[in-house]
Amino acid sequence: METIKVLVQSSAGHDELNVEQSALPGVVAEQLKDDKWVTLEKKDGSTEILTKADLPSDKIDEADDVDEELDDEDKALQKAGGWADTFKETKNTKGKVVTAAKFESRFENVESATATHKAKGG
Amino acid sequence: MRVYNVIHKLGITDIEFDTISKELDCVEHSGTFIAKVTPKFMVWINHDAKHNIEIVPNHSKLMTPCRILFKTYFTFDTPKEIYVLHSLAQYRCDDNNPKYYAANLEELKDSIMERICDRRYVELGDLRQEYTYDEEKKKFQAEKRKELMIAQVNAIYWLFGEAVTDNTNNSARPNIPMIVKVFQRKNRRLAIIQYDKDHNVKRGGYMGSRWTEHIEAREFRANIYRPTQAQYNYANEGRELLWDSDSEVWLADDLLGKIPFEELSLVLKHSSDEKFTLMSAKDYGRIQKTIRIKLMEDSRKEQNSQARDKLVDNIDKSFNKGKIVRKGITFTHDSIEYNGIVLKADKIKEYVINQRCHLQDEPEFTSIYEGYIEWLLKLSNYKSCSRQTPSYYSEFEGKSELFIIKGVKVAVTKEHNMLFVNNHKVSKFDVAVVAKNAINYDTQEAYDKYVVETSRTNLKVQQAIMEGYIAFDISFSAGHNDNFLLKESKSVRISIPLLRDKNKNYTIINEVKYPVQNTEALFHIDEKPENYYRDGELNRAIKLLYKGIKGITPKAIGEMLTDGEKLYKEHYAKIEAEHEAKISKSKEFLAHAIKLSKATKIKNGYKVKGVSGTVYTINADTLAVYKGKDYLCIVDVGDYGLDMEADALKNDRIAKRLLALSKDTVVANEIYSRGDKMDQHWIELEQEG
Repeated sequence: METIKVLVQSSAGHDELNVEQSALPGVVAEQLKDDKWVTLEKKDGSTEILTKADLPSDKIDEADDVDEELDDEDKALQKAGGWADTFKETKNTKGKVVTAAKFESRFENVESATATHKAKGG
Repeated sequence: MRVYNVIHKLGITDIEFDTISKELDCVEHSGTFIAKVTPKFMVWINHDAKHNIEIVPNHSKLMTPCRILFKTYFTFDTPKEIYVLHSLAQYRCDDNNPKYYAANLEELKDSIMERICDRRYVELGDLRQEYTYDEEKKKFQAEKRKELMIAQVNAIYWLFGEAVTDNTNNSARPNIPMIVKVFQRKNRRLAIIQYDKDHNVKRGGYMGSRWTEHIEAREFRANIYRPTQAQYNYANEGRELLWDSDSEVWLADDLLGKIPFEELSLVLKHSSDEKFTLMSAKDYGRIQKTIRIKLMEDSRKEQNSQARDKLVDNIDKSFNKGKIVRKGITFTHDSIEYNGIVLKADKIKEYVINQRCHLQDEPEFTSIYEGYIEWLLKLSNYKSCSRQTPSYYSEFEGKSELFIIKGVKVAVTKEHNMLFVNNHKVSKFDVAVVAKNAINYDTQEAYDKYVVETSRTNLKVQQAIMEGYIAFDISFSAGHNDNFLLKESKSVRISIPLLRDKNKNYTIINEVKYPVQNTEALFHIDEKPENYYRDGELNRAIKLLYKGIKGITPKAIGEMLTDGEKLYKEHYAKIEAEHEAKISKSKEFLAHAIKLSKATKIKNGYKVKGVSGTVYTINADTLAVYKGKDYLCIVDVGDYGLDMEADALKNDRIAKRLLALSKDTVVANEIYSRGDKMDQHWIELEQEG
């Protein structure tokens, strides 16, 4: 299976991991939950930055059937990569509905992921 | 003046005399008013010199009538605020020597801004009056000071074009200055600081004639910051800070309102090497123990009856009901419980009140538990003059104290100046650690076994045995006393293997096993000699090696010192290599970020374009971010406390800025909402988005 390079800002300059494509959403989710921004580099050279607001939540006020769908999907993903657990306590900060499937779709054709600490206005 | 007009043929007209006469009545004016200019002379009213009319040589072509304030000349009418600001920030000399011209009020404001912001701070309400003992005069001065302060604050609002609002903050804590208003213009921040003084000041000072005066007053001052100052990014409303003549400590957001004045002043006292310290909760956590111990030391030494009364009052008010639950921690008068772990002791109530544990915003059980033992055992900060790291020893005075943690009993007793834990003698340097470690044991038997072991071998030796060696660096200076044979100064690293066998310590040097007869002597080798001239470093090291290791030969010592030079070089080469590796990895990280953000290298830094179309520049040295000429505050989150000077960290922080700024519209909300909301750029970006 294809592996993706994940660079994480650290006191050692940075740490570098090689993560299997299926585990990438989980690894990135962990970094987002750890209060970091993650820049995804796509194979076509374009980039996008993910924040905590992009994380899906299992606590979204939606119709029951959607919840069930989400649960099933979560379970399936949990079996595949074991990363869905990382969303258990996450609430989408912008209040938008982000499904796990939508979150995962952002990781198609990813060349690398780079996690950095955040900054705020002083 | 009219006579002078005739003698010197000044050509002052009656209309001009009228103007002079009217201007002389304006006693609230300051600066210089120029009424008449001839090719040779100028006639002016010098308001700063008792409003005198002066005839001075003319070196410039000025239009009349005009004024000169802040080295700037202008011909338009000025509002009263100009004079108030002039009293705050006029140039000390040649203030009336015109260097600039202001065509309108805005240009004059720019000059005033430059002038005010050229200094570090301005005291508001400074009457420049001598100290008086007269209570009536004091009262009068206080009222005048208040009037002046109000006028000055209002003038500052006017200068920055803002409507005057009351920014006094009644939640500001006594003796801890707080920023109550911040103005920002052209990369300068002017912070109005409210300082509610409520303390005693010693007056006098000869032969015990000192007396104490209680000061209770609200004062204000304006501090000015530039982007080159680290303080700039943190100058926002609600910020608490404390300063003395050398340094200043600011509280980070997570500590605002939480650190008592006594602790903050101690932090300030011990931060004299740093001009500016931003103390975050993490930093505070690191030094909290030292502060707490120092405070306990101080309070033991200086506690007076008044302080006692206050303490008793607090006890009555806060903790008399018997039980408080905070963040899952239950405090009662004889126990503290968290998650099933119970600390029981008779003095819990006294400790909780004394250390305000129940009042902390984020009480943490382990820290409270360790604090109790430190408080109980009266730890003192011991810092040997020859060692960098402080250690702590117990000044325990009582005969016996008992506490129970997770069912394990710990009894500390003192007999004939020796300390015992559960009846086993323990070093005064170890007793606190041994007592604290009780939390790690589930049974009394296991803990007592550990105490017995520590009683035989102190913790420092245990640590060395666990690591397998004692290692330290020694430097020998050339040409001094016993080192006169050395041609140049040398540093060596000595590593003495340490092993324990049948309750005795041994070392092995060049495959020969020697008994260690005095382990403590070996730990003292790297300390500086007390009397350098009598006993140099080399001689001292040799003596202690003889003292510490039984039967060691001169040859073995000689070889150990010779090998030590090589060991020293290898050791530090390894550290240097690790450092280089970090820098190398951070450079890779930065190169990666440059590629992703499509940033370009410019002189002094990098240029990157955000998705909003905004072009940002980053100074690679200071990490300052600019949008055109405007400085944008960026404060790093999550990597607080690391060495800002470290090259590796700097590269990482540039990389972080490049990646975030290249997606400015996405991160704008977080940058703005988590920050102090001074830079409107982020909110504008979000609104655009």
